[in-house]
Amino acid sequence: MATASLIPATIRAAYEALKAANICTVTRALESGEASCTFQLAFNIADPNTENLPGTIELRVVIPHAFPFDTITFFPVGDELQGFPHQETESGKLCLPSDTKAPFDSSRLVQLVQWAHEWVQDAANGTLLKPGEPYELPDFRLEKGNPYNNLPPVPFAESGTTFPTWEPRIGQSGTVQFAKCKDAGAILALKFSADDGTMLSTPTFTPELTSKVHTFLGSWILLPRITVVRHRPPKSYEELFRLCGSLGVKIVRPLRRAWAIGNRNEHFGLLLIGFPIPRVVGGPFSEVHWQPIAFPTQEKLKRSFHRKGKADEGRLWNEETAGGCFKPSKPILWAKSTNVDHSRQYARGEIPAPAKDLAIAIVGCGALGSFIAEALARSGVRRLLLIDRDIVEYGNLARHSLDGRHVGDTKATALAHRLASANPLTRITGHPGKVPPSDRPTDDTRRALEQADVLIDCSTDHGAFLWLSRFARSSHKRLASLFIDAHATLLTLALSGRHTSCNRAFERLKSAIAEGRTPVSAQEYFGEPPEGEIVILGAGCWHPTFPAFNRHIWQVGCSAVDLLLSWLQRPYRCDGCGILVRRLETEKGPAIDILWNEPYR
Amino acid sequence: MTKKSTTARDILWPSDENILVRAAFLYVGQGASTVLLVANGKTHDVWVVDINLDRKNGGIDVPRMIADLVEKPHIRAFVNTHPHDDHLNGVTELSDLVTIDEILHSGHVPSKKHGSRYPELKEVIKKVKDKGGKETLLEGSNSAVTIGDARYHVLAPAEYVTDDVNEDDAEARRARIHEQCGVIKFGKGSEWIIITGDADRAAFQKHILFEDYHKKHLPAFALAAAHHGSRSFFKDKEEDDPYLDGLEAIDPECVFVSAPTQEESQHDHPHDDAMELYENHVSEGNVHHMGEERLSFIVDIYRDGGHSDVSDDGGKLAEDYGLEDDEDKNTAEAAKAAGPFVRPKSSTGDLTPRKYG
Repeated sequence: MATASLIPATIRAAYEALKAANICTVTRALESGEASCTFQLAFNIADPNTENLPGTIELRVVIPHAFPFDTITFFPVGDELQGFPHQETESGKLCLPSDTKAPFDSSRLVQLVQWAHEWVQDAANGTLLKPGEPYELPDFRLEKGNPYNNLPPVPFAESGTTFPTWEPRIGQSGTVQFAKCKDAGAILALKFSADDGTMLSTPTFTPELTSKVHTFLGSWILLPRITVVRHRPPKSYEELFRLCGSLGVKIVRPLRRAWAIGNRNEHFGLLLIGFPIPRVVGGPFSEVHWQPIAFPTQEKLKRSFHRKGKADEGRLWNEETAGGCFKPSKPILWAKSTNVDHSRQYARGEIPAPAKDLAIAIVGCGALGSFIAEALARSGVRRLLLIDRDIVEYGNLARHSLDGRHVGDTKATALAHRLASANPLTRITGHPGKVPPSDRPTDDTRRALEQADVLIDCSTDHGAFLWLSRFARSSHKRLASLFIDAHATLLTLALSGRHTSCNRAFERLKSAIAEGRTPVSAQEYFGEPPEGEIVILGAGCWHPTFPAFNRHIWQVGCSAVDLLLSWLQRPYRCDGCGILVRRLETEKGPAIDILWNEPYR
Repeated sequence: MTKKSTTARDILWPSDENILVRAAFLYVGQGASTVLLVANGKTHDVWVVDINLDRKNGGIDVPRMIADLVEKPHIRAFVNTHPHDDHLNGVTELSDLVTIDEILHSGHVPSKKHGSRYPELKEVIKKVKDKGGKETLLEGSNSAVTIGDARYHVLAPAEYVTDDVNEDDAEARRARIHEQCGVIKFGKGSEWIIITGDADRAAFQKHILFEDYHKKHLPAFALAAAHHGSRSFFKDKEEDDPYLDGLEAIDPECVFVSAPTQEESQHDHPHDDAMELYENHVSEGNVHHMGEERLSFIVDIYRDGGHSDVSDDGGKLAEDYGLEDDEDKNTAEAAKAAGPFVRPKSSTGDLTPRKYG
């Protein structure tokens, strides 16, 4: 036991100030532990109150030794204060307003205690969540003794658009196909079907991610609500079974099915428990939230008892429910989930429609192409088709988003696989073919190009560009072509128009440069090979390399992405466009200047 | 049996039996072309007034579009208001794709400078006649001619000046042809669509409206603006006072200007001062400039009287039938001729920047 003499002076001063402020009663004096000090206090609140709390509420206060710079926490003493919103289920910790708003001095403790008092009063009055405020999910976190804490989360895509599918299914259950996808760091819920076999939902996770991974089956059940005590979800199977019983929903069948058919490779099963939630407090239900519970499978039980198939499933189940993992007093091992629907992701940097709804083909997955692809994939573009037949070499890695694990793979497929893990909702496919493709209608590259609404040429191959320009024009697709110079000081961007081919825009831009009408001189643009270009001898042809730094390529690449998205967000104009972007080294630091942005017909 | 769905047919072919005449003012770059669908019993006859192929500005490939439009490879007539290239380019291709029952033309002989395709017109006239078709000279008249369920009325050139173009100087001859350009209107009763070719101020001042000769015949709710929105309809020089009698006599509700954008036009068509005069008369929203968004505009006259509002094709015809610039092809061929890539050479002079990425 620590002694009072170890209490830091700053905490002692704050504690004395609190006592002098007379806003609470100290019920247990300040004492110091290894890394923090604690004391207990009590508040008087209105009695009776809507939540039937007693007139005196006692809290334990934990003050880290690094006070006032670390977080002060408040925990209830006793069982009355539990299950509220803005409160952790497991520990009962109160979630107070952002403590960065409290002063970082000895008065900090007084401020936080005042907030804790207000929290308790709001809790007693049932006003912690006010109508119209954003809805807060119940707290499912279970940190202690949960063997499934390291299980990857289950991303799902639910919104107001999918809600009508689920609303009539409340109270029902069914089967869900999962894919444990290491690359995405997730267990993807692929397909939901009803007990009668009806397919209900197939979230559009990219097949690049899900086609070659192990899938397994689990169950889902949709409850009218999930809370058992105030805003708290069930902690034990007893609470869960009682909740389902009171709601008239049969949970044993889907639970047993998931237990019987779960992930046999890793011996865990999943039951997704869904419930409708509103967008704001007091609002109508607008989407479904899914929260998985995890448990050992039948297979694990068989192995642990060395019964290997000899045991009868019914007998094993009875053992599990009587004294095993489903014993009523056992805790529910909630696993993690997250809603990755596009409407949610927008708040996290997803580009809006119409650009995000386009199918975009990127031809050329080198330094610039891979950067553009990464930016678009992470921005939530729904369909990306990556085309490049080059192989990843060690020499590429300095300026590429791929790494040594991909050396020897084709750039297009390796990049598609990597980016699919960055955004499982973007459908990303790699096409290791050449442009121009063959005339065969079944040519993979040709089909990829035909599927795209927009083509982005990062190939730096002028022949490929000319072919793409004609292809885009005849098939009414948008085409953008971009490249940099040897030091990534100048980015050229040519954009097609509804009536102007990309090559025409590029030709007009080149004429403007040749005639001295742009800030870029003809000598710089069309001149001799620049300083720094090195030709590497290799089998077959000489191979020119260029000295630009990756950070400089990414710097101009960011501008390119902004310009491309701005172009895609606007209606498709008649005019094409020629753009020159200069990377500058100014006295104040690096900068980007759009030197030239002219419409062309 | 209905013809297979094509862009041209989907957009242009009347689906309403009440449509007496449908006029489509096509985007053809620096030139003019109007398609008229004239009711004839249960179907519509196709009339094409002037034609142009403008690759540089992505104009509609009119012959290809017409071939897509008609059920059988046949049109009722081709009308040439005057034999300048920008009203004639494509007539051979048109006659290759469809048979033409009748050619109506102004009878002028242009200079080679402005009418290099005139020999093609002569060839096509011969071809039409050889197949039993008819050649008709446009001559201003006081009466309209019945065509199917509607009528056309030629207002110019005046009969007495048709052959009066003999100047040797190309520019002088061009001016005289504009003065005597064909002006023709289609419709019935009080609803008319007038197409003025390249008719200029002099055409109206000296002939059509001379002593108010055709004044009562001129009113039309839709006007295909003369000479691609040039000021020549109002004045000879920019600083001159405008002659407005022509526009006021026609008194249109809507004006269609067949020209690319000013930047694309080698003649700066349409002229700003002319556009302002049109806008003053019909209001800004009723002057429809094809080149602005490469749109084609459509207007209908109904059998039971009245006419439709102006609609457009959203640029779809230019998108689907737009001619491609040869520039892509030339550049591709140049790239091909440059041979296999070994080590990049200096590209000074060949305007190919060095691309990295």
